Amino acid sequence: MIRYIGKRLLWMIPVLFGVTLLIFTLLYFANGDPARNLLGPDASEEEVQELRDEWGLDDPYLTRYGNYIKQLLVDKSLGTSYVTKQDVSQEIVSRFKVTFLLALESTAVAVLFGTVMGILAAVHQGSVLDNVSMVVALVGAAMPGFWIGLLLSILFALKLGWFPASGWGGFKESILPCLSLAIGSAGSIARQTRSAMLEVIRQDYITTAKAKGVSRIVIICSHALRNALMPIVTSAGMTLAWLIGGVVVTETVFSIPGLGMYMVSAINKRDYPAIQGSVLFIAVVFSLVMLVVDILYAYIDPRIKAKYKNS
Amino acid sequence: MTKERKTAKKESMFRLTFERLMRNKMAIAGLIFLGIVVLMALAAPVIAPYSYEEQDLFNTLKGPSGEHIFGTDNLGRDIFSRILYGGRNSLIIGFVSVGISAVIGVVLGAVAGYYGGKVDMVIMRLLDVLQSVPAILLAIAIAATMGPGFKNCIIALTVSSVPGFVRMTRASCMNVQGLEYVEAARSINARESRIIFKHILPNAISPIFVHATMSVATAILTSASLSFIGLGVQPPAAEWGAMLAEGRNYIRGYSHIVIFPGLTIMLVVLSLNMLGDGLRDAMDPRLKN
Repeated sequence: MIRYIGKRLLWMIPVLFGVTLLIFTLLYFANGDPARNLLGPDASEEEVQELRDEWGLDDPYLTRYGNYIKQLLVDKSLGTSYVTKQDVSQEIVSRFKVTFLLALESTAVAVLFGTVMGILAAVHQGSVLDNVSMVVALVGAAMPGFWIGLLLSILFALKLGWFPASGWGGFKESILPCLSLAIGSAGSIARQTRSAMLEVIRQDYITTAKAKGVSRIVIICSHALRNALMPIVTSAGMTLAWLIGGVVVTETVFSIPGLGMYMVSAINKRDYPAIQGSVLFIAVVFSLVMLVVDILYAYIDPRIKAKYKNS
Repeated sequence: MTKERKTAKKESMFRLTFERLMRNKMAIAGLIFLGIVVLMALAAPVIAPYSYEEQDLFNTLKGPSGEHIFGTDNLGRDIFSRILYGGRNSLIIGFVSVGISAVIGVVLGAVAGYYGGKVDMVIMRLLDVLQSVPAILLAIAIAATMGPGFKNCIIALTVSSVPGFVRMTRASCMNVQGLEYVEAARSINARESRIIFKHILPNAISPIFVHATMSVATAILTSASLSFIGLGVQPPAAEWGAMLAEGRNYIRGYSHIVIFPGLTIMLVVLSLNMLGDGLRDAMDPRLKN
């Protein structure tokens, strides 16, 4: 198992190099001049050129990429923001805390509601409850997250005034963004859970347990759910990973000062170090989350653990 | 002899699938709604009561009425007409980007699955790089660097949805790979391209169809997100996500401006997902529960 984890971690190194190359190349060919952007339309050509020289924007492709990699590996720095002149890594870490907290909270809500809804639907298959929860799941998954956000803030913030429409601070501010992210994912988790549970419920060992007179709750929770856990964990992991990216748009709806807002404003200002840094940082987190999901599999399913050991 | 051939033809997979699909009410509902939306978007110049950029500054932010069934936006433009015209952009973005990425993805996936070894290794490692960034961020990064706009939005969505198709095709090709008819084709010295395109792909294609249907839904959602943060289709052109972005400043008091475009996105995505579910059940009834 440890060997497997080590291998996966080692493999992340070339992948992340690939990510730096990808995002660097994209930005190399990007339209717009960061120097002109920062100085504004009134600055003279000379001033702009001076700044371009300072940032090395006119160097050849390989020199620039080499400098970037050197900065990453030797100076262990993601660079200095063109706009704020601050260390990008510090800015990213402080912003990411907000994003991660929001993604985590939303995943927790989505998993909780999704599994409960899915289990109830599976246990009462074909009932009104089943149909209603599947319709809710389908509709939830079809709504754009940011639109749910807008609707929630129209209703609960502007009309009823229960929650603030934007900003970030405590638990209260996080409820609407969290819900708008969680509704869609809860829907897909519910559907996954339902079909996994239905598959398990027909197995012989469930019949055996019933025949033995084991109580319904125990059968559902420990016999069925435990064996249906695999797809649920998959979708929970995917949800967290997906939300780390998906938060970007929701953050702009609620003006939450997270990594997503940071990236969008960096894109608008052509702040290359900030864009590169954010993408690389998210790639690292995303890969780590995926690794954790794969490790969790092994704990849930001994067959997979055996497979990891052999590979 | 002729009779036998007839019965064999009757059981063609396409036909069986279609028959099963027709029995699925949800899938039919999805298909019909989708058809209506596509037709309405195509016929927008004929049915739309107003042009998508016709401004009426005396009638801004009006709620739904007989004159404007979905109301007007902040510039007095008719929201219903903008949804119809916007449908052209949104649907084209969704279908075209998925179409292109399906072709690229299926070819790459088939090649990776069929040849294996080093080719497979190179393709899959490149995918690892693309997939180590969440799809929506990849799309944002591409759209941001290439500049906002209709074409670039399609390119961004295409690139971000290729990996899914490659993985899917590769997996189903590897399943089919070992079957006898592939070996038979090989043993009569069929060309490799013939084996891949005539024997392997047709038998590996059904999950790809399902994935493509669902991908159009995802692409429409992602393009709406891109437009929402200003990286998609640019005003005054109409696009569902862009309409939400323009309307968000007026939600206090004029919520109709974001409700109708959002509802449209939701219903279209919902029908695509229902159709996709139906297709999956029809192609592989064993999966149905």
